[in-house]
Amino acid sequence: MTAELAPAIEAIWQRSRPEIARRIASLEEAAAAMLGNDLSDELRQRAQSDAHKLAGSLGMFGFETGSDRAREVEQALNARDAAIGPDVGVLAASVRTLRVEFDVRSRRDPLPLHGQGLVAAPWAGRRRAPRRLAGDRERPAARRMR
Amino acid sequence: MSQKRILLVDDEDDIREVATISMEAVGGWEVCGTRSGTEAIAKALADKPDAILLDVMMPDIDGPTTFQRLQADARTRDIPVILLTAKTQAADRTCFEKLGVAGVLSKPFDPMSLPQQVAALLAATGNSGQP
Repeated sequence: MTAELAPAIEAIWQRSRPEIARRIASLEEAAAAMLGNDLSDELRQRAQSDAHKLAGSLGMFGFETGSDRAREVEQALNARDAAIGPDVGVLAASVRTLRVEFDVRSRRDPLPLHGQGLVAAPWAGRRRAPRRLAGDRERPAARRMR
Repeated sequence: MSQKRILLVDDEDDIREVATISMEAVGGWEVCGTRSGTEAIAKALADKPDAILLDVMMPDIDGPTTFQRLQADARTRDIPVILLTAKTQAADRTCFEKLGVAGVLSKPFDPMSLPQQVAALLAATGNSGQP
């Protein structure tokens, strides 16, 4: 079952990547505007919406930390109207981390769907499978990858 | 016994696609997907699904409003509805639960366990969670 599901979800991830990248760029634009004290309501609302959508979707691709970062950004943008004001430092750091993690994840092949029971391969994301020694028993996770 | 059908409503293509694969391949459901509350109401009336998995934040009418409209119509009020939300605040969840939905599930969801979560919520409300 996992062998059927993982490639299908991988294909959706590949198709979704340009839109995910666009949304992260929107967060970067908002973070830069915030740092420059020049964040318009329109840009804030768009970035808030993009952060919300990223928070709700990245984790289903096994990118849980991406969802966590996006949620931090969403909360920071929400806090803009609060008495304490936005935490610009948190927002900028979260966006930066999200970008780095997304770029790293995008370079990986195949998509590591660990942590959600899809493919628990510890080497997922490496380009080469670990070399097997004579007499090694195939690990269960390796079987699920195929 | 015929396969049970679930109506999946989300304006995000990737979420709809992953949830569809999950519910079909892992859960054994027949899935029909739509991208808006308006379409969902029309589909629910036409197809009478066994359950509805409904996103909360959508551009035309949101999930809670869609649910209330389904409840207001005798032809659709008995269809169990599960809300799917990326909102994590406890207050939001409590508010959704008070609407009378069969349950609330969080996004992002785990594609491997989504069908089990749906089944558990449906079973808890007296509906068969098995396709």
